[in-house]
Amino acid sequence: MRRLRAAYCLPLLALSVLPLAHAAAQAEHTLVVWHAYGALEQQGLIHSARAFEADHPGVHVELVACPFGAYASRLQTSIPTGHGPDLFIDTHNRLVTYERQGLIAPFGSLPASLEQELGLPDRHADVMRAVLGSEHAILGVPFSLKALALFVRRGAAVPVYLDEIPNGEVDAPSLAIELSSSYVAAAFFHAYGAELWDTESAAGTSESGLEMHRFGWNSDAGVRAATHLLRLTNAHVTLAEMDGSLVRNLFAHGQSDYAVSGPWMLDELPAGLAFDVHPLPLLRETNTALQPFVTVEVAAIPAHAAHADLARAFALYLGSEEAAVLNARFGHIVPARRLAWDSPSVEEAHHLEAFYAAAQRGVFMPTDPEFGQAFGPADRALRKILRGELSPIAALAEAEHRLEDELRPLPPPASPWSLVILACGAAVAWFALSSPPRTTFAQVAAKVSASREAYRWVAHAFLAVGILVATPLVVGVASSFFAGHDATSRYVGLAHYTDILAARGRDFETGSFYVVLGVTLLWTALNIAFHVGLGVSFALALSKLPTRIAGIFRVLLIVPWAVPSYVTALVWKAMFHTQYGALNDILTRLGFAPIHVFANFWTSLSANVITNVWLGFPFMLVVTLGALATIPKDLYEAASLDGASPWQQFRLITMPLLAPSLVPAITMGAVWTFNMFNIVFLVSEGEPDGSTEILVSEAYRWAFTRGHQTGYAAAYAVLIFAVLFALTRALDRWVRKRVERT
Amino acid sequence: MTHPTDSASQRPGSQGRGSQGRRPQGGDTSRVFDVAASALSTLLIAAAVAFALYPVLWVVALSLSPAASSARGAFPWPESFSSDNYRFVIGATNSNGAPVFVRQLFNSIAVATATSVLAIVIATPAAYALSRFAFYGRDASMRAMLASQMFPGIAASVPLYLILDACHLLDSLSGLVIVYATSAVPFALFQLRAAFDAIPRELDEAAQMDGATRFQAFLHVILPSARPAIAITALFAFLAAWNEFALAATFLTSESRYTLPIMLAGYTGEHQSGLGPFAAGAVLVSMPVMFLFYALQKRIATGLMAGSVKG
Repeated sequence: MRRLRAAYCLPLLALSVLPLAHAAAQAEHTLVVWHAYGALEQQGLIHSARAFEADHPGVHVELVACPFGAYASRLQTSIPTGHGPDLFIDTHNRLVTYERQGLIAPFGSLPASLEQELGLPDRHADVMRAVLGSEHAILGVPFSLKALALFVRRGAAVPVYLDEIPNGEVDAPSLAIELSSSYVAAAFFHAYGAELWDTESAAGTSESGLEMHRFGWNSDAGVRAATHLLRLTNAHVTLAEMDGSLVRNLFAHGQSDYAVSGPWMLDELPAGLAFDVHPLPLLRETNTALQPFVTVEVAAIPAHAAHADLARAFALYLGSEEAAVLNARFGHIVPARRLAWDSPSVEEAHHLEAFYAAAQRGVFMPTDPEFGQAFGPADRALRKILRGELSPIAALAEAEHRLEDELRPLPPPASPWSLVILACGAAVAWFALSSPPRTTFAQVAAKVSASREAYRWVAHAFLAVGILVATPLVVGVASSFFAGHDATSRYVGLAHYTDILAARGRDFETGSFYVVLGVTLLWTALNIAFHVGLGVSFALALSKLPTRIAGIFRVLLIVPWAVPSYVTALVWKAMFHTQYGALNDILTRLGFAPIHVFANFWTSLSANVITNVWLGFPFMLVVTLGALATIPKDLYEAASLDGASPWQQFRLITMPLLAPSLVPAITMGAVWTFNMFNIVFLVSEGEPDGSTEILVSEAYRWAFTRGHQTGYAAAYAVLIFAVLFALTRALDRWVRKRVERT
Repeated sequence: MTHPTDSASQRPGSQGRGSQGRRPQGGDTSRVFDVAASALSTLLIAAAVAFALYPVLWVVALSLSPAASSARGAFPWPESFSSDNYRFVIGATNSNGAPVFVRQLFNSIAVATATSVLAIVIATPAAYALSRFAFYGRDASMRAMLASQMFPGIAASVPLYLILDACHLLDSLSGLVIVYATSAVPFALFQLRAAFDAIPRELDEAAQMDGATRFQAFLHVILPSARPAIAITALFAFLAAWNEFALAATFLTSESRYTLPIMLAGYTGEHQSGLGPFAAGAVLVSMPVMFLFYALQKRIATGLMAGSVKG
């Protein structure tokens, strides 16, 4: 066993040396600042940081770029355990949520000068105060604004009213705008006077049980706004099926002379493109401007920050005029301060001023932590309206219904005893119903001691898996009995389970547990059938080719496995696009009508399955190749001497000998596919109307986009586990019975 | 049904493209079958390669396109060529102006390699015991291993974070490797156990007769015979670690310790899609994997068992 131990320790030793290899150069004080900015925006921060360092000798500002996708989870795990940064940057609406989670240290007061010239019109003053100081504690220093504006190609007429933008063609819209995103469409709804989140009615009546209308789009004004959007797509002013990168591409390639986007698009356009940026135009119908959502970027100090004083100093510096100019010049960060606009070097970055002006007309993103949940149902309603599936009235009413459903009031606290009694009852029932124990304790002890040698071989593996794989599962199960966040957290017993299993009163509608379970089973079965079918047949075909060629093909065939799936999944999605996708390009060349892939359940599910089959078949291929290699060649020789046909050889030699390796791969593959959420997230996004969601993607939506209801998501996870466990056990018994019979 | 073995069955004529000389009966039908089978195989593989590569060609085209391009139409060809995306990815610097790509590439290679080594080291002895000993709790433990894969890891990052924190392994590549390796163990156990089951016990017994301990027999006789399965398991663990993003991005908080998936994810912001640099990064990230697989594939596909075992 000594060699084993040595083999075990060597990689660990090697690894423990690794961190020593990069001991960073330490200044007297290092101030760690986290942000989720892109490379160009970081340039602005870097210039500000260097200027700050020049004024504060011995201080080094370490800017850490965090991927946006993991930013929130990183803040939420690291700050409470004391591993957070000294300062971090995020938008005002998220900061209020963080504050409720206890992640933010109160900032103290802002200098009066800063508060006065944040550059916001009076009507925003109250909102701004609410943003910055919840319960009179200032959350941080606001230094930048983000809002949508109108990009106009140089040479095209600058519209005062939106209807001055001419109609376009089916595949060349004149205005590139992502109307199916409620963040973007909100500008229209605001112009008509409909708020996505009706702050006043949301604040008043939440606990009293009175009727609430938090979803302000389900109103006459909302319906008028939605009808306006529909008119735009019908006149080909813009396309229904649009996303951020398509907006950018249409504008960059001159197909669309106009685009609506934020300051982030500035850095993604080709260098030679001549264009100007203007605040969003007016609507003739209402004679009001389109009013985009405005977010404010704030530098905030996390709880337990090590260098709070230094962090405060740098945050205030970021809010200063000097830093605003540096950020704007080098990072295209739109300054929030009015005075910064007087600097000639900001005028150089003249596009930025339009975003500042756009923000003046805009509407602040509400800070209510539950507000974020309104986007999902609103997006769904917009897609249905733009596809012409539902009238604006019906779709918006449905969205409100869905939002109220997803906002789920917290279940009442339950007594922990109910669960204890239930567990005891289940244990008693299990003992009563299961066959009488065939072995006594002494027999078990004897068996255990007889197995001692084997345990020495397996102990480390089971210990490692037990700690690192099983602990999160136990924690997950435990959290399924709780609801709410920190302050409101409470034990709710089985409330989540009864809620899910009762399908919240919508037994067989889209999104109910049972329908989603059906879709998940279909998804898993289709994927596994194709994975195994393609994997095995490609492997067999490869084995028929001369070795030298086969080697190259083997490598080419695992390429889908090697390329990171995020980018390939997005490429597949682009191929299914109605106007620009490869699929419809080929179909129209062949004289067929283009297909709206994501408007129909079956085509949408097929798009998901095709993408996942493409991603997954190399795995089965490699497993089959490995298994084929262990089949002795002389078996085939003997068989063909006996006159076995190729089919008989396949059935009697190949299949039985492949099975031992393939069965575990198929079982595990099925379990993984059942829980594969990212394809559904990236390709169909649940379209149409959430019908292609699978259980695990529903669970993820509850955990991340529907108000972080982690307890509810955990209950989903436990149910997924139960379904999978029952299915694999049943399948196992069935296979065993069949094997015994033959 | 027996046929006389004639040496003529080994005649070179039957060793046509891909037939590997397995068909001893001369007859026309079999030769027709051989030709048909190999033609069909070639066609199937050609179709498979087209299916596998088409989206990847799009990724390559996107990576070579100037800013603001996307996959449009049926032909994966960039409108104009530009190396901007590659220069952006390779030339990326951190806030101190130090280049980061090579560092992150090194981190990723170290993490993925150590993960596959550690996973194999953990899993092989256990899989061997599961294959060779009939011990108390064996079936239950295999079921538990499978069950461990069934629970979606929605909330896994917080408990893991706390465990790593308690072990002072946060923001370290070692901590990440330990997490990755253990999560690769259940599949490795299944795969390796199947491979060990296929190796006859006579091999261990013969080695032990010759005076080897069980562990020596395992190390010198059984492990070499299971090489294809070990290679596959290692590749699997390597790729899982190579492409993992969520845990890496939560546990690693120093930029000098980022792995490549964190770098790739950094190109997509709340509003930015960053598909061009992402595509260039994806091409760069998949290169080492392709080389690795090229090195492994012969071992996987030819195996060392051929002819040495009789069922």
